[in-house]
Amino acid sequence: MILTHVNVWLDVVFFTLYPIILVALGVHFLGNILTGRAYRRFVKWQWPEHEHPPIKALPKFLHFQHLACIGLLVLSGLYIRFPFFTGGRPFMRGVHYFAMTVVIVNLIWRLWFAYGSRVRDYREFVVNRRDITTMPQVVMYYLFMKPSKPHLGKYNVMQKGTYILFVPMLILQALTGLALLEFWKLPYIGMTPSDLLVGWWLGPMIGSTSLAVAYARIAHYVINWLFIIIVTIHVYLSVSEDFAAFLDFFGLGFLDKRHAQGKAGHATAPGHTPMPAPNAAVDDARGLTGSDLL
Amino acid sequence: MYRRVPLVVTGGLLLAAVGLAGAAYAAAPTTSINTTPGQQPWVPGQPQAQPGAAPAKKTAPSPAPRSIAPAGTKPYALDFTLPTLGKSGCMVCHGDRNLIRIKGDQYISYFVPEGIIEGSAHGPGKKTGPAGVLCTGCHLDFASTTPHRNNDGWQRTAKSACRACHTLEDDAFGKGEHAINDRPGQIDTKADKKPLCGDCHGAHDIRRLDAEGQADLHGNGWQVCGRCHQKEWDSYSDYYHGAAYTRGAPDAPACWDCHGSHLILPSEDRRSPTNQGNLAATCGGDTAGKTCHTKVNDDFLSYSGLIHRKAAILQENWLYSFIKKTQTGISDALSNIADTVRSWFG
Repeated sequence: MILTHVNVWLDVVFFTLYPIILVALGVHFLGNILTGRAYRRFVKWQWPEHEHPPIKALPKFLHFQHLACIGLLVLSGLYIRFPFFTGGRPFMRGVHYFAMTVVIVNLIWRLWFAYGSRVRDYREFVVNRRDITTMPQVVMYYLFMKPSKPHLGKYNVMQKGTYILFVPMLILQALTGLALLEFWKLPYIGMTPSDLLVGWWLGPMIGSTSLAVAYARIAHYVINWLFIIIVTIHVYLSVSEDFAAFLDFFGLGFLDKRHAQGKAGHATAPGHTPMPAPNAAVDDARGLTGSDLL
Repeated sequence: MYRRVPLVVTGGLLLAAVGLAGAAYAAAPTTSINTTPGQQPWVPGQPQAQPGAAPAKKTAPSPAPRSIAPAGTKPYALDFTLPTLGKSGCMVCHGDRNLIRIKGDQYISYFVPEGIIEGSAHGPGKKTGPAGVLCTGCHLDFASTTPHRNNDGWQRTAKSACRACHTLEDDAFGKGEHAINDRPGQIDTKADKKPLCGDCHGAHDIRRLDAEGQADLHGNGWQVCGRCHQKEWDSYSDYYHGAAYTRGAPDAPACWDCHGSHLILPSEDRRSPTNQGNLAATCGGDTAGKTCHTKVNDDFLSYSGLIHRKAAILQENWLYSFIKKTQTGISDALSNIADTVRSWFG
């Protein structure tokens, strides 16, 4: 009962929700046009200035390959569930495993970079009290109820929240994905990843190892859709809010000259109110950003 | 004296050869396909003269095309023992690509590609012997009745001849739903629609069950089962079984992985592997040498309700129905608006 109807319900809900989100983003962009934000940005080419030095090639490449792998994972994963052409299963599965490996390596490296390296840029993602108190203003800015949002650091509170959310989502997605490997026994251990991840604890709890794997598959599918939705919104906002930086990130354009010289100030850009009060933690982090060392 | 011996022997041999040739000439059938006028060099596509045979009479008429001869024509006196074009026996005619019969507005080919049997499971092998299974091993009714009579039942004979060797499979088949019910006093009204061995397994090109052959067989679900069970084939669309299998996934289950092969029974039958009581063994047990799922329970087995019913369950979903109706409503409304606007402009 659960497996039959939940699977169908998930399809119906997400295939309904995603077009609604696309329409909502379209409506939001209409808001950008009506309020003149789109004119200022895309016609007069007034984009936020960036206080950090220009991003170097390596972080751009890492971001690009991560995005490409996430895209491949979504495409191949949806193919495995909804095969939309004939004969592609082994290939798509191979693509899925390859992209999975890259993304897991990326995740491990990024966590080390955030917490273990000299840079320790996790501070840039910490949601502090000022983020919480100014969050309504950020939300109101995106809802066109305020002309600007407070500038607190490299990322605003919604960006921080999203990027923080990515970490547990990626970990869960990796674990639930590995838990689907029922037929491949790990060398030396003699257990399958399914046994290792869900078989020994969830299996006995619900009475079936295969049922535990089926639940892992459902979780994997739900998280997949969360990724699709969040990445779509991320892409939309990066285009509509800072298209110049978007182009720069993919090597298709350049940020303004002042930014290239490291003289620009993000806080003075259109759509930003000056930074409220100094914050030692943020300032410390700003003194030694990840891109400085790369 | 001894010098004359070779001469005498040679002369005797020559006389014997002439005598034998004359006898062979006298005995040669006038319509034999080997009696090509004159001893011409062999030309591909043309009948080849039997080496050593005497030249035929130049007046011997060339036979009419035998393959499209109307029923009732007097049988040809074919010699099935002599090789022609490197072929012998049945392949003398059935190795000819042009061997067809016209039935109504259809051309029916009786051509059997050379080597197809040799490459099949019935070709030479340990079980089939150095010659493999001969044509008459399956075409039993042609074994002693060459050339062919107007025998409409030859296909049924050939398709059922497997039982002569594959007794275990035939025994299982006979107990299943596909077997014709021949119990006394009962008439099987579905007898004409029920398959024989050859309907599922094919004919001359039955694959060996090596890895390649198994992979080939695995992908033949529609050919084996689906073309009769179209409704079941169409409904086999759930995520990880049907949708994957019908799109050629080599690791997705074929029909017979769940339903069994020769002993086919309806799911209501308690002996059927897809009967509710046997699902644990079918899904979680060792099926055809592989275990698909481990430690299954009733909650897990409830997924089987989706395997042939995904489309139906989707239709039953109220949100899906609502969206579909909304889509239809919007589409109709837009169509009406377009019609109205079009009517304004005549």
